Amino acid sequence: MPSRRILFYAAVLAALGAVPMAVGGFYLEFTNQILIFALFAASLDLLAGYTGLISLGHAAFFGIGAYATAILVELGVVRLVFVLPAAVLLSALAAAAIGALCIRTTGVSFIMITLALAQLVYYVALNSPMTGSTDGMLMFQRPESGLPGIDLENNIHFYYYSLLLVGLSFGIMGRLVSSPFGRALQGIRANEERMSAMGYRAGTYKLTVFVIAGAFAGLAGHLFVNLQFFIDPSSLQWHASGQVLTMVLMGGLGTLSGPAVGAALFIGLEEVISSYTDHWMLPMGIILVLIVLFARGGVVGLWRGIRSKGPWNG
Amino acid sequence: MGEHSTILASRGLGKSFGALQVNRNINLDVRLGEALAIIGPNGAGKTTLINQIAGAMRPDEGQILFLGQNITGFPAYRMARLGIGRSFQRTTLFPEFTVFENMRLAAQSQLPGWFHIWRPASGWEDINDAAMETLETVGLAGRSQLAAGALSHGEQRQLELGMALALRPQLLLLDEPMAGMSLDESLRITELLLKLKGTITLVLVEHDMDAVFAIADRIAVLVYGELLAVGDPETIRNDPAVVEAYLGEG
Ligand SMILES: Nc1ncnc2c1ncn2[C@@H]1O[C@H](COP(=O)(O)OP(=O)(O)OP(=O)(O)O)[C@@H](O)[C@H]1O
Ligand SMILES: [Mg+2]
Repeated sequence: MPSRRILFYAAVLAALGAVPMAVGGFYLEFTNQILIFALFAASLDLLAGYTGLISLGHAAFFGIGAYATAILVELGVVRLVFVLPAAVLLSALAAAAIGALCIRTTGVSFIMITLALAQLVYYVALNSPMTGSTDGMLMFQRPESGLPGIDLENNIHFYYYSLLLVGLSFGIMGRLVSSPFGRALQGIRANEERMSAMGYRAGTYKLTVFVIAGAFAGLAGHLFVNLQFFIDPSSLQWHASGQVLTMVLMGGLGTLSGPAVGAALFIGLEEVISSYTDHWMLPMGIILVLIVLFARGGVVGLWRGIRSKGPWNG
Repeated sequence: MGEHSTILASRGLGKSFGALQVNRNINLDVRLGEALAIIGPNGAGKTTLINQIAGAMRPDEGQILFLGQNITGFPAYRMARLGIGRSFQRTTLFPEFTVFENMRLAAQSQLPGWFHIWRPASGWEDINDAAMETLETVGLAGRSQLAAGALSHGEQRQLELGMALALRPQLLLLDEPMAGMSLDESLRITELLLKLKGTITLVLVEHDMDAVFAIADRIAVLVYGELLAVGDPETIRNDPAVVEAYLGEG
């Protein structure tokens, strides 16, 4: 029932909206970070889960959104009405250029070429004088909203700014995946040959979703650099791409709630485990392997399975 | 050339896989509105010919003309948009999607434009109705909510055919639509194709000779990659070369 779905999402949104009234400081920032990575992971899932394009270079667009924001502010362009669209647009443009090269390939070649091109972006960030190379960039202020009473320097205001953008993005992505366009993407994932025989130009669909996913990743990057006041090249390195893909796999490919749950789980586990040991990657890896082995649809797939007929019935 | 207008023509069409020449110098005219059957032994190159006309494979030599336009080497999606629909010999569905969603995607291809993102797919009534109508045509309306992969083999073949029909093509290429069907099912499909006959041009690759002789206006015989004969069913049935090369065995 769609109405129950909407109620569920309204409840999630309300709960997230209430967070600043309950907690502040570290926990608010922590929740804010989860929001940002939920968006980043969901944008990757448009490619990996819905279209079957496993990208190992998605962090490049996240990084471009972040660097664009930091560089503009450093250059004195501080008004949000410029900074926000510029960050999203630049990520989308980069995705168009990189996507045009990648979508000609499939399978392992696609994975490799997204990885290679993203590393190229990484080296640019590493070596360009604009980006502060290995040291990264500090942001001394957040962009100015230009609206009376809204000051993004205030962490609570910034939290609501993030929640608004992430919520809107999820709304748009939800629309997208259930639209004729989104259904065609899923058809291309399942059987590209048949889609072509039915008159769908697969390349156009793939490039379009690549650009859309890049734009949302850039938006996540824009929020991220504002949250941290800092960005360095490690955020767009291949392991950052691998990490966000891990979030998608943990939560469940091919759903939008999956990546959100995956992001929360990943960031939560990282926080908990790293408070005990520096070697948090190992337990995290084990947990991921267990999830992949026992819940092929990730945590959300497992949950849906339990609710319908038991998790292991296909 | 006479009183017939030609919808599709191949001129000197040739295709090889490595050293194996699978189609050789094929000159075939398909007349507007006719039902043309292509028969021939296994491995004769029938599917390869269909694949080239449908744009799934690029010819090595020769030309393909559709309504006088040179369409040689066009990609599959362009062929489909020109009005050339095809079904596959090896069932090619979306097995995890419902039967309805399979058909809906086929019907959705008829939407003008492609970037429809604001209204959910379920909200396009025309497309839903067209999908349901075609499901009824191929006798699958009662199965619409099942996963396509859960259908019986015969039902999957029906869906395969229906999805090609849903494109409302001018020229429909059918690659062994009856393969693996029960007698009942293939009779039903024969009936359906007889009903379609005249409204669209049919090119039918089929081993089921009862179906071929019931449906075809003309028959082309392909042997070892070459066209051996083209003619009306009576002529083909009595052609000694055809009988020796193909019909004799069955
Ligand atoms: N993609 C391919 N690569 C290499 N060889 C192929 C390919 N497709 C077909 N062949 C070969 O080409 C020949 C003709 O195949 P084709 O599928 O066109 O025959 P067919 O007439 O449709 O046979 P059938 O009646 O069994 O369907 C066969 O020997 C086949 O093995
Ligand atoms: Mg064949």
